[in-house]
Amino acid sequence: MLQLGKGETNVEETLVVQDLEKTFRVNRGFSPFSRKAFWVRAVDHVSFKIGSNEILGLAGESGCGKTTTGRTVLKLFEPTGGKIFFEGHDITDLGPNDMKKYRPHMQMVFQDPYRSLNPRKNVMSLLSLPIETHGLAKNRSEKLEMIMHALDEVRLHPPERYVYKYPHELSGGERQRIALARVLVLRPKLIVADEPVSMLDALVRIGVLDLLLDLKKKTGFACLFVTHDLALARYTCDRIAIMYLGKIVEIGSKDAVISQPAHPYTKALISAVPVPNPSARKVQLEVKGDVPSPLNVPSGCPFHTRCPYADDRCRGEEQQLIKTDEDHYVACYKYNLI
Amino acid sequence: MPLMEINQLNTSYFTSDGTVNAVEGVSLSLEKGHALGIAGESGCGKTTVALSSMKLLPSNAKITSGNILFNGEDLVKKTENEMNRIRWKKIALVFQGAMNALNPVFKVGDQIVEAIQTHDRKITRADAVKKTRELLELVGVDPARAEDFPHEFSGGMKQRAVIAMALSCDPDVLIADEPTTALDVITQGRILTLVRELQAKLGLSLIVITHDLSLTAEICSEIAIMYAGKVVEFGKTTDIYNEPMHPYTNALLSAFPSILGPIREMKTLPGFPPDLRNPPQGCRLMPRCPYAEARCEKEPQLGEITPSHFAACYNWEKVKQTWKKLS
Repeated sequence: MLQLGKGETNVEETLVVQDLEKTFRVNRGFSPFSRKAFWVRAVDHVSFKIGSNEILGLAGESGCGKTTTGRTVLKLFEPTGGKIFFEGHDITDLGPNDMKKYRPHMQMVFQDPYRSLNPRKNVMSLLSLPIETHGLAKNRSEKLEMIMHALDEVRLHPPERYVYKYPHELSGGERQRIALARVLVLRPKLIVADEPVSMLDALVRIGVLDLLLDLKKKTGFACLFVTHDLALARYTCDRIAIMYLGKIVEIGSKDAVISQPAHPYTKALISAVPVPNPSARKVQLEVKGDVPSPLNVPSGCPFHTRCPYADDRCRGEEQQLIKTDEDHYVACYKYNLI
Repeated sequence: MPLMEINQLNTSYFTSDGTVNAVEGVSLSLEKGHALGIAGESGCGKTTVALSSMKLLPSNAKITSGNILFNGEDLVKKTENEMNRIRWKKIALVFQGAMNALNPVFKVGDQIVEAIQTHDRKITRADAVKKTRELLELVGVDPARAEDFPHEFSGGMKQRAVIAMALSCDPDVLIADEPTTALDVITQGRILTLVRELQAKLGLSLIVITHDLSLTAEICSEIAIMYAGKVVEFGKTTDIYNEPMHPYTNALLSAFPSILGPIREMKTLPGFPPDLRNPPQGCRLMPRCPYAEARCEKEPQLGEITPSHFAACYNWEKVKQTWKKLS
């Protein structure tokens, strides 16, 4: 078992994920008689830890399994292998009823605020639902107070102006704040945020991000921040994990991963990020080809088909995460040769 | 003389809720071989500028005044027939969401052939097919893939195919509306490299419309920043990034995290862009601007502050100083 360090701070981990696996069955072909079943391993032996009050960024291209990982740790998908520990409790095999007592503590913020809020419910009923489901308020006035407080927390001032509005009356940024408020009324200990700002405009985005960071400071929660934007991950997260075809290929503190990337894939990702500064020069690492189909993951290191440094060992042998530094792990045996 | 020049363009949408002046008094110029970026948030009018310059506006929109000079000819006065001779042959457009611009039931190659034959009635099919293969090769797609359907292409390849289609009639100007949205970062990087190469190889002039300032930094030589239907700053890319003189540019630049250099604190402006059916008097940024003062009630005009660097702000000096201190 890999021991993934988490820096010098020795706080108890909110979430520990060990060798997590999630496979999906897909059917190919139209005819029910000639259908063939394929298995897609969306998450392949993924392990990480998130400390309380820590934000772990999970970054990678579309289809790398980052969203599936996020949903599986919340048990919105049943894992097909591995273990998930939430505050030390093994929740891997709990059924929906047993999960209920953990649900208020582990919540999710979705990508698209235009689709994650029910258009037929106003802000009041949107925010009432989690409170009622988990029986957090003793009476109506207490519930109202919680709702007002939540709106105030996400800086929708004055709250009275917002409670009776419907999602279509709100802007994208306001909607995502409502989505945050809906999660925060529960005072969760873990939030999985799936690309929470990718649908928002630049200026609105920073507002929502800063709000998330502020609230984390104030109320304290662990966060798995799923994103495809490395520059954003660098701004938001404490640690970053890079995923490729269902596997974590590099994980470590954000400074280590972004400033001293060790895996060729991380290097390629970083060199492809456009920089908002025309005079900046960065290292260039070009990779060939496209991401292989997850139906047919290459043997050995999944990146070998595109990696400029690949050799026979990479093609034949699966790479394990190697510790390169304090809190920096990479799944490439050649990391110090390249 | 610039290849393309937009002078005091006004474009309005006539909706049942009132008239939306989406573009107001926009003046821009594009030199031959240059790449002009138009950047701003959604709803600032950047796409309307692009659609106006090809006269492809929806039926409820109209260019109310101003002119668009292309090679000295005013496009606003052209009839639909005359425009048809200019579209694609002189000015081509890569649409936003190019991934969905391909028809799913036709082979990619046939769609490019169709584009070529539509604009050149005399070309034989064999020649058009040959040209399609050359175009695909030019944008880095294996010509054999012309026989594939769009669903067999990856996102990056579809984008390349759409660029090939836009280049099919050898245009002088290529307008790209959000050319890399919805693409993955590595694919995006490759498309940007491709666009740069094509520009050098074919001597293309580019107009890139985007909300992403890091994108414009990578490919554009000049940038216009738009806010609420107006150009608030215009200048050389390096000037815009190193010495922004408009508070809105300043805010946009601070809103993009960089993967290089120290982690700066990012700041945003309070409030939201105004409703263009009823825009505020005076400077449109005033309600949100940290530098706002009494004289901003009278709208500042876009003025040349240093050679070829224009900004529409009275307090440009303060803005410039603040940015210098930050970076």
